[in-house]
Amino acid sequence: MKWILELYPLAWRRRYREEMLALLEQHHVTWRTVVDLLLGALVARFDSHFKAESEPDPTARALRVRRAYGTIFLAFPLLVMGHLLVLDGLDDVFYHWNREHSILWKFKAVSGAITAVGFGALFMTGLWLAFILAKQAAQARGTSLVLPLGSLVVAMVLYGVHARVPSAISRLFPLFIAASPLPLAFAVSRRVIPPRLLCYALAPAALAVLGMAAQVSFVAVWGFAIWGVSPEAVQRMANEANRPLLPGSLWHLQLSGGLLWMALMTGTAAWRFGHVLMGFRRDTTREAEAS
Amino acid sequence: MPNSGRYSDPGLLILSSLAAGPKHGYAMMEDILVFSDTRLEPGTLYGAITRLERRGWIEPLPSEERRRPYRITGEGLRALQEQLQTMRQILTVGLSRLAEA
Repeated sequence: MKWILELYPLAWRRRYREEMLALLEQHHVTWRTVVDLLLGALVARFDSHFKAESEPDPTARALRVRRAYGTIFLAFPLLVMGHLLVLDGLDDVFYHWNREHSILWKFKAVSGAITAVGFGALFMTGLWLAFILAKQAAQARGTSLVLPLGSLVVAMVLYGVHARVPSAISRLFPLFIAASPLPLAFAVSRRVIPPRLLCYALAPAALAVLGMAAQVSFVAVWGFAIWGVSPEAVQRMANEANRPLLPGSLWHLQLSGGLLWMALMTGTAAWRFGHVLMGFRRDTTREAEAS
Repeated sequence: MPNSGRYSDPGLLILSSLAAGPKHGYAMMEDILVFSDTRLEPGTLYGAITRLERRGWIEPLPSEERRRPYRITGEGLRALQEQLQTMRQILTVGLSRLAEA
């Protein structure tokens, strides 16, 4: 039961943890107790009294959010690499088969929509924060205008480079990647944005990580579905679609490797984002010492 | 008699329990169960303890082997008296109207 108490705010734990543990040792714990404690943790999290006392050092929090965004910023392109490695051309191969098994297409549509919404939200958040930076820079006559404008220039360049990619979605992702997290990451590292405003950026980050997880889940479902089909039938479909797969079991290896790669990237991003949400004491201590 | 549900506020139950003397959390839960047939779970109990402590109606005493007793304060006794008097008034009116119905 100790793990449930870790969900309570830091100030609450400092005050009540030991006596609560002593009570739980005597109490007959049931599912009602677990639910009650979870609800209690949720209520305590929204309690302004504990929130004020638990407010971490702004520097530590800003660094934690920067690391989370930096991880998502790096993990997503790498995740896309795995996605392309695994699924590149397989859509064509399975076109006719997928028409009879529409559930996979529906799942792909849902997971793709979640990813698009997540990174769209991240993009809008990045634009908003870039506007704040630009406004502050204009008022202070400083040079931080370089940061948001520079990130937008990078985004445009990447967009131009990737515009030759035929897939419509691929044209948008570089824009999202460069334009959205960069202003936030730089702003957080320079602490020009009040940490309390960073909470508005957590929801888009959560959506982005959720979208990545949805993509990994889709590939896992699709991968196992492909595995269940006869390898000979798969090769025949590939030949008919004029998109030959890797010979023998090498394409199984391609599928597994791509899936593992995507899961690793998503897991890393989710773990780092989890640190932001849970405010792990260990992370706060290390970053406070580093700063 | 069938169980008609709980009508009790955790804070009121805790104040009533502490009116008989200081207690730690588990002792409060057991006492409340006896006099009101209401089983408070630990999360609810400490949520109410937090609110009562913040209002100054109860105060903590030094811990005894990780268990911390609480006692009701003067303000807490006045608040408990007011609430129980209001409930008595409701009880009187309710019973008289039931008799007339």
